[in-house]
Amino acid sequence: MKTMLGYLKPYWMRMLFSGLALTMSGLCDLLLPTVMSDLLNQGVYGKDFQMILLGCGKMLLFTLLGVGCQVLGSLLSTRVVANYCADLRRAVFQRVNRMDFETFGSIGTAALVTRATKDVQTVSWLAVALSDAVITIPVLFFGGVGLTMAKDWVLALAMLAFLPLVFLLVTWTGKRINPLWEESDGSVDRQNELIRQRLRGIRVIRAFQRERDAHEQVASATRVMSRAMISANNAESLIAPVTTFLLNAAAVLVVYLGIFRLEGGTGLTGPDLFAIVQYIALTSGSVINAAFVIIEMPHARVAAERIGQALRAPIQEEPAPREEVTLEGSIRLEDVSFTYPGGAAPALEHISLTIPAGKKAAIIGGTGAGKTTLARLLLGFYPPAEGKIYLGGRDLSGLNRRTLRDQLSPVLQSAALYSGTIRENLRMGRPEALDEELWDALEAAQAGFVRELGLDHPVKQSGKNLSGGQKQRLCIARALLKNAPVYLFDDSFSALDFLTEAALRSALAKRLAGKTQILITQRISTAAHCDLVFVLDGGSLVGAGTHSQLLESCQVYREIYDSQTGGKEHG
Amino acid sequence: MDNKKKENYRVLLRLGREAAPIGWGLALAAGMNLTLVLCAVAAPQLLGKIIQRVCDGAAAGALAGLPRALLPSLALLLACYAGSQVLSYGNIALMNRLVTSHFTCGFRLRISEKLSRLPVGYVDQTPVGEVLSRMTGDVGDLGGYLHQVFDGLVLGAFQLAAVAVAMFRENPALACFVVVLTPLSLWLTTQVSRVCTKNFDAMFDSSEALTGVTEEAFSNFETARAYALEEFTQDKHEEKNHALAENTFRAHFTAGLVAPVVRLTNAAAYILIALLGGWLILRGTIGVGTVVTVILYAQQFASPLEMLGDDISYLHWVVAAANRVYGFLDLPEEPVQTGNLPEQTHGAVEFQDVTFGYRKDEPILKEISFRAEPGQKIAIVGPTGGGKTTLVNLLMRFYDPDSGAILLDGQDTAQIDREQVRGRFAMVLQDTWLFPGTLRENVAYGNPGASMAEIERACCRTHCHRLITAMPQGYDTPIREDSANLSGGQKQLLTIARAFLADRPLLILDEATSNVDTRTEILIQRAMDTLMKGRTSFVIAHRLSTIVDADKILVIDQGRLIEEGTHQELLEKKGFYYRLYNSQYEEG
Repeated sequence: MKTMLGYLKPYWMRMLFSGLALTMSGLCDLLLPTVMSDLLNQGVYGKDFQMILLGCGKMLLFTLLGVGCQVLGSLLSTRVVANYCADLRRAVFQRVNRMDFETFGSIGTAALVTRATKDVQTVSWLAVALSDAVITIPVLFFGGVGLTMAKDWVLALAMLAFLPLVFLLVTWTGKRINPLWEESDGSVDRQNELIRQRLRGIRVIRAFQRERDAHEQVASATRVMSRAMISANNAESLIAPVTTFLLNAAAVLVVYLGIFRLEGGTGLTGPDLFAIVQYIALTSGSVINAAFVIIEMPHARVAAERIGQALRAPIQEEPAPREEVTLEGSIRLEDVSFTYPGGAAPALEHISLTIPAGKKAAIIGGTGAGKTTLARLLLGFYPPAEGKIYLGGRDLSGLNRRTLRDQLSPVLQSAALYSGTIRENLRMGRPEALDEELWDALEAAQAGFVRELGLDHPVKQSGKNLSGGQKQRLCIARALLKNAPVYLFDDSFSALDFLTEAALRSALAKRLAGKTQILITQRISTAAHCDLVFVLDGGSLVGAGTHSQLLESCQVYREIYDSQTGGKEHG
Repeated sequence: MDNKKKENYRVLLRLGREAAPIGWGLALAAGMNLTLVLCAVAAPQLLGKIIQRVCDGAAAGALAGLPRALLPSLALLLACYAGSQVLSYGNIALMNRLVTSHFTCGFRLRISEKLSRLPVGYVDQTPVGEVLSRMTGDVGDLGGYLHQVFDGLVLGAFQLAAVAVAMFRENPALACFVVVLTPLSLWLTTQVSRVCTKNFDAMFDSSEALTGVTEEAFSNFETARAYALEEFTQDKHEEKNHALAENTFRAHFTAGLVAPVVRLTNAAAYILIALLGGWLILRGTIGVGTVVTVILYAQQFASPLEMLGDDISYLHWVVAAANRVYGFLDLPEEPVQTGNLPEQTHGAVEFQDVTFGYRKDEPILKEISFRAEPGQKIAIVGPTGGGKTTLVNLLMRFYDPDSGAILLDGQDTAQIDREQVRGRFAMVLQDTWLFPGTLRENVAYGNPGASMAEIERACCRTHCHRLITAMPQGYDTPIREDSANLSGGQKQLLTIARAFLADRPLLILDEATSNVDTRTEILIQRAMDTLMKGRTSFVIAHRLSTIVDADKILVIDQGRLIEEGTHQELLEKKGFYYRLYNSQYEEG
């Protein structure tokens, strides 16, 4: 919450002015009944039409002033809120961009997106409501009480007495409502999950004729949800009528007491009494608004805490400044172990291996063998828990990450593209690349389909308008454009058929001659063509050598081979 | 434009017709509204009279005993206030129940039913998010705003009418001022709210764009780091962020203008009443109480008008949401056929010149013809995107061929009830979908009546009994959301057991390409072999090693069946299959 408020600092002047404007506007609103009662007292009872005219003029003036202040205040405060939100979103976004992988992984993509968008929205809503409520409500309420005080202190006290009652009621209802809303939100989530499952599994559901049951499941979740929604709504709807009634009752009480005071001859008049009733009416709207702010407060607090957590998350520190060097493409791991944060078992255990510069190495193994983890350590996403990794003889732990990444050109498993054009996506590999260079890279990556689409073909968010194989080939082309001593392909050929893969392989051999290539794969056919093969199983290195050596010596490699070829032929 | 208006009008009428079953409830709610308004209208009159008597009393110096004399009036006033709030709550609670259960819940049930009848093609092409936003977002909006609109319009109309009548009865001259100002205030607020709606639309659009950019940047986290794209994504984000800030400002500022506009007209009425009222009092035509009453009425008259701007935009939202929901409910459904299959299925399948494309002008399969004899193992191979999966879609009647016919035991399946055709097939797909339930329920998914013994037998035969009994709760282990407690290979085994227990004469197997460790892979292979025994099976092979023993291999490339025969025959032919087979092993 404090962090959130800190971001308001640059705006304090504007907020102050906006507060002043809104205060003025509130006061003007309150002055109307006062002027009215003067008008009645002096003009009507004094039988003085001049006074009536004067009173009306005053009222007009106050109204115009009030409206002017209100517009000015809202102009300032909406500006502040809009910019404040933009600041928060920028701050969260930039923090996430520098966040370390452990934190990123532990919070998760979806949750971080929510923080950078919806949560900011929720907090901003509160900021709007609060900035309004904090300023106008006290002004209206205590201004009203103050003005009443000027007329009659007993009545003012009677008015004040209702305040705790209203707030008691609101906090009590708020406590009851929040769990009800949580239940209702939960049932909506559950229903969404059921629909999601149902759409994903539509083929299986239809194949086994279970549509009726799938619908029944959704239907019963819907009924639960509708019950939860009704009770939450009903509880929340209680606030406005009860608050209004309490304030109405206050008005009746004030009138009743007022008559006694009148009788007692305190100088109070009938029109004064009417003015006080008007004050109460004016404050009631703001009190109800305040009630809703109080009820929504916990929501906003949760959102604010989540944003705060993202903003305070640790970022990756650089051990050294960036260097403009090209290292030699050799890689050496010395007794490297790694466990993911929160992971039960180590993902990699005591791995030692060497890939000489300019060689083509394969890392093979099943799911969970630790292949991708190895790639992540090489890319400097995570530091190894134990052991050392050397690239071109330099220890990674002492290397600036940008320097490291200049040495590596990876194609990651996720095949990530950005919205924009194909050209923009390719140029991420080399910003200054000419179109011919792009075409060369596309040719090598077997991405002939771009010829039909053109380089300016739009890519939708995360490349949704392209097939898996197309995305993979574009990512390969992007990696080829980047000039680095080491190229890393993490399961990058999985969406390609054998013929395309073979063509790609020979194109890569030509284009990347002299460079180090690391191919992470599950396919024996890919590994068989490499100079060196490393076999991972359950996080341990269980074999290293050439294809034919491993067929002789490595049991796991044999098993993979047999399962993929039916064990028919060797080599 | 005019057409659109007509369309909107029709949507409203349709909504209205659907409200018929809850007509009595709506009438009751309206009745409550009416009574509530009467209470609310009575209150200012009472208060005015009280103030009048106080003023008169003060003027005459006869205040003694007034508190006691006024007590009944004050009690009546309090009762009026209490009555109107009780009715107000009753109305809200009733409407809440009616709208939520009839519309919100009702529409959701209808959408869910509709899902059961939609063609698979629709689901394939539509992002899950879109269906969810129909079901959650739109239906939620519809319910929420419908309530507001009904209340706002009904209550507002009653209140306007009742207050107007009461005001005229109190004093026609003063009432005129208030009523004359109304159209002006109305016009101004609708003007503002029109701009407002436009600005809010722009704000929602840029908010969506920003979420898109954020999602993209965060889900490509690793790539961004590997290619040092931090500045690039930040620039992209900032562009959208700035746009959103501008649009948010514009939307909220215009929305904030409604209140001052209303306040201005309110104040104008207030001042005019004071001016005219004061003059009339001076002339002795009316008393102070009348002015008090009319001022209070003027406030009551203004409040529904203040809400009117909101009500109109709510109405727009209701129509927009209803349009989308009806659009979904009116989607074309899977055509229904009534033909029957004989009880006994032998399992002969024949494709006759089958042509099909997901888009009519782009055929994916072109004139495919082949025959599968009962019990045969048919393998389908070919490059990615060649049309292998499409063949499965047609077999299962998830899609219908554009031309040609698919025969099952000599009967054209196009004439037969889809459920019956699907009932003859069991499937094991690459995408191993399990539903959120226990392992036992999942294995029995295709045969819900199976006994525990049958389930266990199926699991033993398909090599997943040991895997299941090793789980903490055995067969009763629940599958977590996204089945995170199972590995890819384990899920695959369960889907094989599921297909085995379903015991259908025909079988479709789409092999998994990856994500399976070697040992599980061997188990899966064995399980599949067990499953295929005695059934006509269609195997989509990604690894050629598994189909060497197939009775017939169909090679499909670019939508055409280019080769057909056994492994040996195709190798001897030295054609496409020969090259495909050798590419697996050739040294590069």
